[in-house]
Amino acid sequence: MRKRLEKLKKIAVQDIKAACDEKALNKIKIRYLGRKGSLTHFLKEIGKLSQKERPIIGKLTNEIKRYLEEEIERRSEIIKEKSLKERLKSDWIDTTLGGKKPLIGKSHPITQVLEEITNIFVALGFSVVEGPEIELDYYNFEALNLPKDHPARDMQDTFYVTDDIVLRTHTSSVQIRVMENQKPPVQIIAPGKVYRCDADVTHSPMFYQIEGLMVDKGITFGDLKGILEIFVHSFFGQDTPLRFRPSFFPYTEPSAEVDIGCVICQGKGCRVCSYTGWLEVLGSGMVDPEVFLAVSYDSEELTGFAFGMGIERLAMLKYKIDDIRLFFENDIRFLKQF
Amino acid sequence: MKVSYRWLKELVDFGLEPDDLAENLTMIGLEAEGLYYQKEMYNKIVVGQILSIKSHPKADNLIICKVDIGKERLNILSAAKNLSVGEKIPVATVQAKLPTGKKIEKVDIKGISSDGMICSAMDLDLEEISEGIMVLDKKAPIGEEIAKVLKLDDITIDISVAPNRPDCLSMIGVAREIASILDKKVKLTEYSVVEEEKDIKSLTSVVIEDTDLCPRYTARVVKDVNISSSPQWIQQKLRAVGLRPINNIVDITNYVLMELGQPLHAFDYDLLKENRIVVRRARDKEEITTLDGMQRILDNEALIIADSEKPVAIAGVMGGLNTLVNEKTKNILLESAYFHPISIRRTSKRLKLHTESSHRFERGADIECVIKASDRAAYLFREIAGGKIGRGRIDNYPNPMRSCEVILKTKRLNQVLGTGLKEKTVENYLNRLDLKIKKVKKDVFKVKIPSFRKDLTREIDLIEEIARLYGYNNIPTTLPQTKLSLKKIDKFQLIEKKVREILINCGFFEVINYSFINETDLDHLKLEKEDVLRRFIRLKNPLTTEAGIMRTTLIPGLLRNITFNNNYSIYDMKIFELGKVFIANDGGELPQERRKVSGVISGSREEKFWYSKKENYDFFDIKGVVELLLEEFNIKDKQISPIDVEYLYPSRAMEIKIKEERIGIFGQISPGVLELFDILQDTYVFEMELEKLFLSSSEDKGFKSLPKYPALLRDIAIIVDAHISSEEIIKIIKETDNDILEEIRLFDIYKGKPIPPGKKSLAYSLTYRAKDRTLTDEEIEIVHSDIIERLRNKIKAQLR
Repeated sequence: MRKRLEKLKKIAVQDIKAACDEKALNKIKIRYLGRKGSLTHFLKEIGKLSQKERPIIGKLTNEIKRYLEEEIERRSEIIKEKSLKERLKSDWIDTTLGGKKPLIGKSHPITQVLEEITNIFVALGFSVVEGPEIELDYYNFEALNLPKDHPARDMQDTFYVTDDIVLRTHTSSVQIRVMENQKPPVQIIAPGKVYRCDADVTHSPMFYQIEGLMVDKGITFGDLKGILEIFVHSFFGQDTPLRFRPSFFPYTEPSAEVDIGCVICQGKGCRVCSYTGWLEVLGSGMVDPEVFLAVSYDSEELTGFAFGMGIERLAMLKYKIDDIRLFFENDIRFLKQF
Repeated sequence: MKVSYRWLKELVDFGLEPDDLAENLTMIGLEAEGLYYQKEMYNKIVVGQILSIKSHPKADNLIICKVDIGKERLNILSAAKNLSVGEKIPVATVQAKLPTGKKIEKVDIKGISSDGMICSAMDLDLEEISEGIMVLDKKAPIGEEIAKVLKLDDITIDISVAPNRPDCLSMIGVAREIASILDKKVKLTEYSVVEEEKDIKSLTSVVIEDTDLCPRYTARVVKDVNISSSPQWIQQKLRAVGLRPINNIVDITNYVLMELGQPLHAFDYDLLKENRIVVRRARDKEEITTLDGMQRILDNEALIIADSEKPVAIAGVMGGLNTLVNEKTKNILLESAYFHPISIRRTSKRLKLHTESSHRFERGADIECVIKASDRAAYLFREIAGGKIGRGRIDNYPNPMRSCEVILKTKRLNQVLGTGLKEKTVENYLNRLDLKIKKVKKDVFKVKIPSFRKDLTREIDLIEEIARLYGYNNIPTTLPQTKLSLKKIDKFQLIEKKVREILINCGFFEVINYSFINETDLDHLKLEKEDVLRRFIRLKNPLTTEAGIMRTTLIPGLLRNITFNNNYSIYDMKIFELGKVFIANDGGELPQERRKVSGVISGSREEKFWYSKKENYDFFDIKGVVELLLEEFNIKDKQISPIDVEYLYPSRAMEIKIKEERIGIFGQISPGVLELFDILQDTYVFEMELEKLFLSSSEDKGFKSLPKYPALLRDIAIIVDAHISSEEIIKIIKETDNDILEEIRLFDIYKGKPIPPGKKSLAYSLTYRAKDRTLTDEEIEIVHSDIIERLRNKIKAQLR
């Protein structure tokens, strides 16, 4: 009996080692260890043995059973590992195929630039306000020290709805509406669409502006320079040179134009900057006392500064776009690039 | 305003190179917009001497000249008749480009080649019409550049003069600015007017009928002038400032205009009826032919200069043809006057006639300069045209203008600028500006403003002057000292931002369209006459009629964007716009400005990829977007129901209502409308009113705790009549009285075999869950079979 058992073990171990997949291994397991398996058969026969032999053979049989179970388990591990390896090997994919990109849209480049600029000023403590796009002549011109028949009106070609209603030519009109309704201090920016009858590569009949206004006791021209320097440096980069030069706007005095070192040629002189090395990006100045008078602010006590900039121009410089009309044609191929 | 570098040098003593001068002018507020080297117009045009002249053997009208240009000798063909050997002439060599634009090339005429061109004054753009070649001075060095010989080597600086600085519309004005930068004085030319003729009073008279429009009018009479071309020095200066020489009289008036900024007008004295001047408003419909040959019809707001019977000039704008100085003119009446800026501006605008003269008068000329200008011109008439000046002048100036005085406080100046300038420094700057000052007390100046600086009327104006001279870039850069306070962002900006984010995440691209549309766009949308979208604002002066009205809806713009992209073979797109539309109010009020959001979906979902098929968008794509927006804004009490919209496909149009108020619509664009917009592919649209959406939105997200017990799913597949709506079925399912039905999801719709015709099969997945326990099959079975029972009874649903 013992011999037969030993032989069975030997054959079984050979069989296990020969099994090359899970299925074959399972068959072997049933053949030897199953309810009707060879080893089970031995166990059943133990009863027939002598009292003396019974425990010895029983123990041996159980040992062999455990041994075979372990062997099968080991083999199973090996087979699993091997088959996993094989599967992984056969599951090759072409990872250079394009990914399945989720389809998302994009905001308009003007919106992106507008948001970027707005965020800078909000971080500096400015509130964001809006005003009507179709505006009374009073708010767009007269209250801003631009009476009817003033030659400075030629600086802005105006769309008229009636003699007294215009499409606002700048967001400066919002200044007046804010100051009429709010006591100082005032610290606002007013982004929005403005309109001028003019159309070519650098002029659009509709474009965006951001106007800024800060009024309080003790606001100086130096403060205007400080705020705009922070803006220019955060929008165009810390190393961007800027300069202030005298200009004229009816609603500011002193008035200043802000130039930045040309971002295209780094100040060396190119077509974009008319070979001056400088680009005009902002109009600004100290609020004219006439404007304070129009909103009943005390111009002896208060001072303030205002500034305004065209968003398309800034976007064109930032993205090196050479034709303003691209912004409003809404060519999908254009919009996808930003 | 174009200024001459050389002329400026005569007026101020400075050593700046043209580039540096331009930079200095820019930094003081006279932005130099361009720098032009005159000689560049005469490149490769040199002095030549004629060595020999032969006639062309095969062309009768041509001669062959051998010309010495210094470094070589050229053969040049010419048709000129006035040439003789030894003469010096301008030669345009091969590759030269004449100021008239003509390019010189080597040519061959009947076997003889020509190495250039001998030029007339007309070829060099120095005369309107020339007879024959321009013969140069005998001393002109051979081979020298013609620009140098003719002194056409000046440099022109084009500066931009702000509307408040009419004083800088003259050489003297710009010179004053340079002098103030460099702390120098302007050099004024000295001259004296010699009067040899009869007393002016016996020669003419001036009556100002409308002194409100003409505060000052002066006249001089100069007799026996010889009309000819001006001397070179005048011509050169006029050319350098962009004016074309005409004849000595006109050139002198232009010269003084450019020098002093005072517009002058010379009348032919003998053509003035009764030799006298009347300044008056025009009679209604009175006519005048201006010297540009145009007939102008005036109204009684225009100020004119007349003689005893007819208008002879539109005051301050342009002279009349009838009294124009011409080659027969002997005697001249010279006008130097001051006209009211607003009157000139109105007339010039109405006539659409903008001139050097009107440009200065409407900005405000210097009323005290009229005499100086008149004398200067009279002096030149005598010197250059040999005229005899009548004794005295007429100066009609009933109410002399008083000079203005302004107080300037150093403390205030430093407060505004953020500087610490000392009294002495301020005084120095004021002196440089030619302002007469009186110290009232410490740190307080009384400043007398000269008549040419009418822009200086307030303390702040003087502060700007000091700042300009001190240099903006020298003012210390600081940051405002201000108290902290909570700053608000416009709530509509926030809602726009949120809508934008949602739509971008849905794959939409944002577009921005002009706010103007074509009125026919509204017809294209087939809108009824009474439709609110037809209550538009019309522009009085649109750029084009296609952009004649303000939009009342964003839809036409978006449809045009589809058309635009279709032209580039892009048919598939999802685009949206956020913006205002304008609805007219009755009366003269401002219109309503309403914020809207609108989106269109056109074509197919995406290009065919290796992992996906091309699939057309349909109605439910747009509906899904609308539903998502409403969900994200937490809109309660919303209703979405079918409606008829003129531009939408019947039965594929819905309106969105909140509390019975319409806030938007969506659906498929009807084929008729698509055709009018030239769009071929199916297109879906939504448009919503943002403000209404915002007002109905809720911050309350309705948070519920996460479920603790598991859910069980049961499916129902039923066959019903094809026309029964999904909404109806869901309503029936929800009627079941229970609180364990959590979600109903339709996951399949099927028509066709084996489903009988006229029927459809619908499959729903129902989710059951209780808050407080794990549901048993029995519990669910009761509810589920109740649902099935109801569906059977109410809509005769058959279970599949």
